[in-house]
Amino acid sequence: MGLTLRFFLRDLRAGELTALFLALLVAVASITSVSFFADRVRQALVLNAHQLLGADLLVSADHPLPAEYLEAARARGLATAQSLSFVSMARTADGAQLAAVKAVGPGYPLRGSLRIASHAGVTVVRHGPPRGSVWVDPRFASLTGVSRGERLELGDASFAIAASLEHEPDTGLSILNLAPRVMMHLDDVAATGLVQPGSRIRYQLHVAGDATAVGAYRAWLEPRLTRGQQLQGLEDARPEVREGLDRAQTFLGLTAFLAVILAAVSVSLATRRYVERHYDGYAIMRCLGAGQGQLVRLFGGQFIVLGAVAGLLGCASGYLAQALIGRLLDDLIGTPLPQPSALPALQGVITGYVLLLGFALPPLMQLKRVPALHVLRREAGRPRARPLLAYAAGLIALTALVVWQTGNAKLAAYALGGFAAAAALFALAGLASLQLAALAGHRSSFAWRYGLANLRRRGHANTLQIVALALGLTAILLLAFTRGDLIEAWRAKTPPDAPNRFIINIQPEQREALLDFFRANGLPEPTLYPMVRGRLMAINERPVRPEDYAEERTRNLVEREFNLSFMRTLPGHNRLSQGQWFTPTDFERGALSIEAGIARTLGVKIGDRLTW
Amino acid sequence: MTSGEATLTILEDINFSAHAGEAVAIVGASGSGKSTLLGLMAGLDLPSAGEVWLDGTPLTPLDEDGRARLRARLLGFVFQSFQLLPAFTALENVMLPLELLGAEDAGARARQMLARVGLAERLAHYPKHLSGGEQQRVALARAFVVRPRLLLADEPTGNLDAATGAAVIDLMFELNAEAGTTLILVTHDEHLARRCGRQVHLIAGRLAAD
Repeated sequence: MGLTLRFFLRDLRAGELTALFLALLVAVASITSVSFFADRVRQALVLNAHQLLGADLLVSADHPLPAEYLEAARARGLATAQSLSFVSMARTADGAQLAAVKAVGPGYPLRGSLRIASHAGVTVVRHGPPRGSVWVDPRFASLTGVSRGERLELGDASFAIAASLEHEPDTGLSILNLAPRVMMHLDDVAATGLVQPGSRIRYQLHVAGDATAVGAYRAWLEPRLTRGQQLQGLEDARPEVREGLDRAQTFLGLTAFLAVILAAVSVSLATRRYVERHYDGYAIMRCLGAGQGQLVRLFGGQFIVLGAVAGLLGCASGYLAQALIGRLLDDLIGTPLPQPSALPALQGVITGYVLLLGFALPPLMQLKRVPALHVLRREAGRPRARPLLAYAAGLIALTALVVWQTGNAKLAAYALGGFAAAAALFALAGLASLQLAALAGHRSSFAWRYGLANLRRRGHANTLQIVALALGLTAILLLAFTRGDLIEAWRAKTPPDAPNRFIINIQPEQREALLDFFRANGLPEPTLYPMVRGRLMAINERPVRPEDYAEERTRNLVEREFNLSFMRTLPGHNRLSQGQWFTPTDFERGALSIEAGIARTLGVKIGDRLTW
Repeated sequence: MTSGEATLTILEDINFSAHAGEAVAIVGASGSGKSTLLGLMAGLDLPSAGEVWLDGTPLTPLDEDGRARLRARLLGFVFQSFQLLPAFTALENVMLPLELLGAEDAGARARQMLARVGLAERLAHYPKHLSGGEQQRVALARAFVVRPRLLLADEPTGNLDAATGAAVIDLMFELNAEAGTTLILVTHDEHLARRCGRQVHLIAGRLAAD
């Protein structure tokens, strides 16, 4: 190994390995930067999803959940917590305010934490309020004028306001709660007398634990869910972000793949150059008494060392590059990204070695054919290139690499098929050009004849070079062309004037203050829409029942509350697909416009009568 | 020795031996088969008929690696085109045969040898930074550093001007005398050949005079 290392350092120092080293470095850095970044975003998504749910899995229903759900979770060693949510009037000394009450039991929250401001200052806690007390949203305090230490009545019971609830982990789920939060202990709910038959209460079971056990519990639970029961897991969270990431990763993956193709071309060309420059050295060493096995170990060992060094430095460069990407996209992502796992690094090192084994080893092995006699007769034993055979291993290796990198066999098949066809075309074009050039050369000057004869004499090697360079250029051009298309396609999914942020839960008295804020900050005035939630009760006086619909999506839709809005003029970004905008008569007798997709799903047409 | 699809006789009816410590010049015109004979003696190639013995060992039954092992143990080479590795410094070129043999003290012995050929100040120079004469002196150092029993030299002054060539030849004979090495020198230079104790003349692949 010592001799291998010394030879490696000598070749590296003399610049013999520079082209190969750079080709590998770029390939590994490209692959790892994409993988590191995607890995961080995925981790952040999972973390984010955990916090949105406050658990790994959330079972919720509009009726008490069967005890067996809880028991089954516990039997699998999963942590559990229960909660109830309902809307109720909360009375204070100065009046009453509608509150979104959440009653939490022991264990809550299973993921994430709460931030409260109490007499002890602002603290982060992982439990709900103790019995007899409540924590209230700062908005509740500002609406009612109550402060910490005062009392609040919910139904028949009275509670001390112990803290201001500044953050709760699963707030994402209650985003449509228009009323401010009041959090209480689950065991205090009975005393309020608010849970009565017919009360609109959301019962929730939070579950967390080992991913396998959670998966098994989910598989057990899903077929048992009945009407009105819902299951939410991490994979259900933030679908829009997940979809965006998948699309971004496909593009970045393709970029990295093209970098790998370029690297494969560079590695094979650089190795050819390396081998040609080492014919003489190999023959001298044979002449000086080196055995064939010894030299194979020596040269092969150098390439193994080269793979390790380029792999490690490539990973380090990829890590730095992804850190830079992360910093550039910081504002866009809007959430701190966790450190990446080690898997992308492994992927990068393997990529480097696959490229070396596939594209450098076959030409390198040609050195074995160089006889010692080459030192006396230079024409003796110069190995003949056998491109197809030599690069078969490389093509197999590249296929495996691309399938692994893109995670998409179809995309890999298209990409590789395209490149194989292009390579065949370039080879034919190269051979034909050389033949034509030779024919044309007969009538030209001596210099041209000499040059063209030289080109033809090494026809196979020159064709290989033409194919390699043409493939490299194809990869670059492909990237340049597809980049625009991909980004366009991506953009097309989101309308150009789509809002970046939504502000919800604006109370009528806050409207002016909000508009003032926009004006004061020089921002365009936002359009505010009134929102009210309503349940669809009947279509043409016929009661709406989920079981009347065959499609699960439709059943879920009619079980949910709809978001209703009202306005006098049609908003600019809306388009009437059927019927006409309301006339003054319509406003008097009550008319409704419904989103085309929902109308289709529900089977509603113009002239139907909907009851809410 | 024949070669090619149509039989081309390069060497025929060659029979001679060199004794330990002897200096033999193989002389002949270009294309007379001098270098081919040198290649056969070194086991770099095998004759199509006949036998070559090196230090009592017949070369024909040995495979490539077997002949390489024998070369490593017994031979030193000096070539017309120096044949130094371009990526290696002068020191590393001289260390090379020792390193291939697994010698522990390769560096020290190579330094000593380079000092002996007057290149102590040129250890870290690459071949491209050395003059032709200096490169051939590095090649001599590389050949003698393993203390070979037999030195095979193929037109060692062929790429050098007369003065430099003479200085290199003087050095080669000095080193040869110091080490008691047997020398077989291929040349078309009669003057150089006369410095060897014995001359073997080749004409069109046949031994004309010994």
